[in-house]
Amino acid sequence: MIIVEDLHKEFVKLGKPKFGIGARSSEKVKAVNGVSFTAQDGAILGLLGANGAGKTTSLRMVASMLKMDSGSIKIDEVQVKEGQMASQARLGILSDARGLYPRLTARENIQYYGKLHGMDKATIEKRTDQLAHWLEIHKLLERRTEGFSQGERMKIALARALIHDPKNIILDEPTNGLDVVATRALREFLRWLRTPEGGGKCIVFSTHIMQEVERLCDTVVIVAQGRTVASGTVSELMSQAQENDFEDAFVKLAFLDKQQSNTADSAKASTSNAAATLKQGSLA
Amino acid sequence: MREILAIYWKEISDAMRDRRTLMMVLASSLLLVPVLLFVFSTVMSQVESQAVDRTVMAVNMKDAPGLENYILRQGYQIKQAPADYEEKSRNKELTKPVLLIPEGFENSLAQVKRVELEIAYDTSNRQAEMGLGPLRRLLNGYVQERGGLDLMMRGISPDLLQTITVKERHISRPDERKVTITGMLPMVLIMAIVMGGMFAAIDSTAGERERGSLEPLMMNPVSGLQLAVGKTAAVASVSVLIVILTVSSFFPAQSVIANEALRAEFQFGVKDALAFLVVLLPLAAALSSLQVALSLTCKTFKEANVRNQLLSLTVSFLPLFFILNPGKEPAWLGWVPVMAQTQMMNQVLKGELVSLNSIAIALLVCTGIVIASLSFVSKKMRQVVME
Repeated sequence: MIIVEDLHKEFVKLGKPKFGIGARSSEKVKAVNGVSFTAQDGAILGLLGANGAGKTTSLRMVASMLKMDSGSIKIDEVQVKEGQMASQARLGILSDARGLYPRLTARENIQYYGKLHGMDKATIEKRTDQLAHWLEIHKLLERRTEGFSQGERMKIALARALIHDPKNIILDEPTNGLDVVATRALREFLRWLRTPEGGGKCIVFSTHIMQEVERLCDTVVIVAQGRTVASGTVSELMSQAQENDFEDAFVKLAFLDKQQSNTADSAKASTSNAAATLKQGSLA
Repeated sequence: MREILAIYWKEISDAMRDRRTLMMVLASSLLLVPVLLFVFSTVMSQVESQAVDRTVMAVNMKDAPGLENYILRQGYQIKQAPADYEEKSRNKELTKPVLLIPEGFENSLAQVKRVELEIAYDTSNRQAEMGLGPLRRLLNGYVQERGGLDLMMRGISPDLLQTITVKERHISRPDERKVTITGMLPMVLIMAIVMGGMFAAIDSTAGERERGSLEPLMMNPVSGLQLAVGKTAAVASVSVLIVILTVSSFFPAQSVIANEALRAEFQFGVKDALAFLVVLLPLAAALSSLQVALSLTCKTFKEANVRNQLLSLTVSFLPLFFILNPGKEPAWLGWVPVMAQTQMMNQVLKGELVSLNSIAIALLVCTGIVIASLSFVSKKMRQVVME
């Protein structure tokens, strides 16, 4: 189980000084500004948001790869602090950068992570065989990962992330660059991981693709401008937005927040502006 | 510990599979010293062969019977130079300077006229240039003999011409081996260390960042220190392998030395090899850890490559100090890495005993560098991912 409460993260963007002299201008960028969600065991939670909404930053904080400014993250009752390893052992993470070692074979890539998790050789072997069976990568195991296709790379990286049989799985845009066949295979595998036979895992994944969320997720959390703006099942969100189409519902929910803040910010109520953004959003 | 070993073996097998770099590094470490020694020894032999070769090439020797007689008395042979000696010397067919005797040389001498002898050689023809010295000495000998005889004829002692003689006295210790070109061997070895470990260091840090594999790696429950130790140890092992290969290439190198004097000078035994290793292993560890630390701060392979090239350049040029200031070795040099090792290796080559004191100082300095680099790398390892 992963519980995330009110995460905040601010980045300081350093600009270049004029003519190379003087102080650097610095600009604060709020990347995450109040993201909260609870991911249950045996369920798939989808983090849905536009590009730059703060999904990856939030997930990196969950993976303790980034220091949070405020908020709290609990993984199976273990409090996450950045750079600390106790929570990492409970997590399997497939990051955006697959990061396989091209000169090692697929099996060696998987084994390496097993060893880093302190597993012994026999267990690693057994687990690799299991994963190879589930992901259908037996033929790839003895080949060097140099020249693997996107789909093959994703499968190996996923096997590597799951080598230590983690209870919680985080996937950052796992279907990026995958074709239909590979996407379907991944979806099937994730569904299976959710079942009791698959281990009843707690799965969190981020995406900006509607169909994926519709077909796969038990719970959807919509993130916009760094904050959680809505959450619930797909049908709950559709009724909340009073839309029949999930895409329309998403656009409405994700950009509604902006409209409200706009009206609150300026008394003159730039409704036309907000409507324009909304229109743009639905067009996109 | 198990994690460190896992990291170590992964880095080693990764480095060993990087064929292109590996081949380049191995070839250069195995071939560099033998080739260098072969070239230098051949040049030395050429110099010596000019000194040993007792022939004089001359044009118009028939006009100087006195000189001919003198040259023959000194045990030299006289050869008629070919008519196109200029052309032949230019295209290096002729490897000796040519003595040109003017018409009526002997007659002019008899009439006490001032006469000129000429030596023709091409300055770009190195071998011919080397024969110049011996020929000049020979001719000077004749000039002196002539002058002496002329004085005696007039009843003056020829000793008056040379009341002062200059002698050389050698004060070097008899057990001290002469070091000439072998003085460059320490430089070659240190270069081998920095070149050998460089690619492994870059690949395991900046390369890992560029490939995007560092971030997933840091998501494993391993500490920065474990990663730092494992990676540095792997890079150091590669460097050490290069050192061992280069040092062992000294043995076959001895057989290709084409010069007796140099072969006598360069007597490299197993004992010397071991002494070299004792001196170089801590340095290899220190330089590797520096390379890892340096590369970790770079985002791309290219950037890290440039920085490491600078380090390599600095490190390889440090030993030039000894070539510029031969024999001048202030005590503080023992505390400067690379310099201290060069100094100790020179001592080994000269057949001197390296003091335990200086070994201990060098070890201390190297350990300090390793500890500093490791702590930097272990802290930085997580920071660079969070950037």
